[in-house]
Amino acid sequence: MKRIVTWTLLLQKRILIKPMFQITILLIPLILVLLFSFSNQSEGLIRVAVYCEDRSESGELADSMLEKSDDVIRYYEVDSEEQLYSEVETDKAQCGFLIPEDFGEKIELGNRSGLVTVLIKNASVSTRVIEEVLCGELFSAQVFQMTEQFIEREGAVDISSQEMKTTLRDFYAAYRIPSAMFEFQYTNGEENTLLNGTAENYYMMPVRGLLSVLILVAALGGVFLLSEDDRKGCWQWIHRKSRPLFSVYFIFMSMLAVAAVSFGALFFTGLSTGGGREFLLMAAYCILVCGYSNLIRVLIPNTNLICALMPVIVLLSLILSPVFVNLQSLVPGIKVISLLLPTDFYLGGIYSNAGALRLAAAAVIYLTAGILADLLKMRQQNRG
Amino acid sequence: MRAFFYYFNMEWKRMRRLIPGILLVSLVAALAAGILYRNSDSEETTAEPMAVGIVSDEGNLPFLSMGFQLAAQTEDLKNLLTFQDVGEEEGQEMLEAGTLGALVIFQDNYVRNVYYGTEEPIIIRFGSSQSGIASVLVRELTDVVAQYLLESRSAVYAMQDLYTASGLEYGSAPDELSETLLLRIVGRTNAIKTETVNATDGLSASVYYFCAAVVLILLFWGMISGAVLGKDGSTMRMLLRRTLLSLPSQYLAKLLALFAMFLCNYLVLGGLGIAAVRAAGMDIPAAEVIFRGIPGLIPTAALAILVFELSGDGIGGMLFLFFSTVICAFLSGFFYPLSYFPFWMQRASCILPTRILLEFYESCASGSLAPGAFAGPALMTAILAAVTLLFWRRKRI
Repeated sequence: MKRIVTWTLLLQKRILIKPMFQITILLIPLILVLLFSFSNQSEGLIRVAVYCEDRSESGELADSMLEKSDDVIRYYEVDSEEQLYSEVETDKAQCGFLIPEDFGEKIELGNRSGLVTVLIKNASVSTRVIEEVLCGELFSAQVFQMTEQFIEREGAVDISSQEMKTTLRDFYAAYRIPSAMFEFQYTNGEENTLLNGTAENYYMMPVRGLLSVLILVAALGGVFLLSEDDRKGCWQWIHRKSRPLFSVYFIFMSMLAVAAVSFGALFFTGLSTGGGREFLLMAAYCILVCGYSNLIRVLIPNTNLICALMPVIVLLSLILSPVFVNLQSLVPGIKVISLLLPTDFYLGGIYSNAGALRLAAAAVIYLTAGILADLLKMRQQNRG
Repeated sequence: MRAFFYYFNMEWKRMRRLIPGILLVSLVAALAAGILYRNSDSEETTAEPMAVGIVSDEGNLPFLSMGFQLAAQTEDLKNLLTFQDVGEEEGQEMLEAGTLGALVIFQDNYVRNVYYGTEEPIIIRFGSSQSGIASVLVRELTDVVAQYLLESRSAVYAMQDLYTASGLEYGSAPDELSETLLLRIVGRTNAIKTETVNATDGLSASVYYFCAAVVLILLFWGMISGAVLGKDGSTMRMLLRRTLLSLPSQYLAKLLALFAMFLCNYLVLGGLGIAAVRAAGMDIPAAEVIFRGIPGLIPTAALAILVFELSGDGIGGMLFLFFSTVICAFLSGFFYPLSYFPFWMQRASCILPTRILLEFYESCASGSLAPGAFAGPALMTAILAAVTLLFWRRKRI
């Protein structure tokens, strides 16, 4: 035990003594604090400019849109049509709403089409969602008028008098009490605080993925360091039978500090799922990354090739794993490639029990495969 | 001059060892990306609609089945979603296994409770265990659905109350009014008129992300260079100074050697990229970006040299360069549009190396290569070179 502790301290000192490594570790919490501060900004993820040609006639719709602003979609008013076009053209707003001066009149007459003009520069999923939100507001503006017209057509009730209209409006207003209609949960049934609006840190969404990729990079860096040491013959004195386990231990030491800081960062930023589960997931991921990196070291003896492979693995992890966007449902085939990316197993196990089991299984498989491959390679070298 | 070329040749011999590895790995990655793109774009293989499981008791089933079948027939949804009735345990297993993309759970007697206004929230459980921008946008859409239901219910109840207050039976009028409102919801998009404004910079999203990909690839090549740059060369520099090769000359030789290594990879992969873009019929001026963008290799090389000189070793430098590249790329609008960030961050991003390089490659794509387009990369190179030389002087080499 004492020997293990001594080895751990010496290896950590060897890695942490490098200034850039220290800076990288310190950067993790600093960048997280920066992104956390972004989440407190009131700018919103998507900005929509609103212009009303005649506020006295159609100001109600503009006001209701402005009130709908939240941390996802921020609606703001502009003073002129020229400014509205400028905001959209220069990407200050993803979308613009032009509410004409005869909007109120069209609603009164029961017009159905072309009530509001939507300005977009590039059609995207975001602009489609914004259009749906606007359609919802336009429906709200029209529904009372439609109800009045329906009752009038039915003829059973005389709704021509102002008194009856006021009565109908009072009845209608009494029922318009919004309540939470949907509740979002993660795969394992835990409350999704992000979507339910009880925790709004949208800018923090990619943080866990980025930290997992950084741990992977640290492990691959350990592989490079170990390969360089092997080339210099630094660890020749380690007993042959112990070399496979020592290699895994070396790689684990190289990523230990980064993993520990990342673990702390998850708690600090409020992204953690809870102490015990988070620790187990992180431990399983560290084992998976160790085994994965060790397998790469055994299969690819050339250090230059390992250096060339590192950014590819990192890029693939960033793009194909759900760090920023989940592409797996959009592009068939990504699921197969994701089996080769440790980050995908980790991110899939955070809020899914089956995913956590897959993570644990992958950790055991990659670790065992790496050690067995190392033993096989040593045996072949001895025979040669 | 002779010493300069001698040293350049030495550095070139070191740098060129990385070329086969970079080319091999980049080609494999490009091939994989191409297969994926072709797979996703093929007419025979389209993205499968997301399967959504509906959990409800038998009392709800007829109404909900009708509702979801109607929704599934609308133009917007029929290629995106499919609905199927499942039990709760079965649905959860399918969700965990990935067979279902989402599970929607209605409480018992939901429809009846809606009638009395005592319903509990509908639970939506996503199969992807991470929340992303897509989930957030889905949340916005569910708010819209809730709005339609609230408004429709209020209108129907208000009509019923008016009839009751007038001493009349409303008969089938609520159903007819509901149908009228439902038809208006189905035809909701007729209420808006969409107008596309002219883009001021003329770049489409695909061109933008192509330029971003080029910059990221260059920076990751810089990261790979740590295998060579990360080795301490202070002794060599001391010896060279004694042979009257000044520090600026040494720096220039190193920069040119690294630039030459990048250029070899750049031309090979760039050529393949141009061919691939043309074969795929994509509307991207790949040739213009690749060939006009050659000067962009110089500031990338200067950045790599500085990072590894400061780090003193390959591993630490690689980690630092990777992490800073990802963060700078994130803050420069590589992954999310820049307009998502606060205005002060958008203005600050113009000093980030990733933003400077991206704007340069955007200029290459749009053809607006005025002298001003080179100012950013040139200034970046000058500053990086000055800092490196200052560092060398302080180390008393």
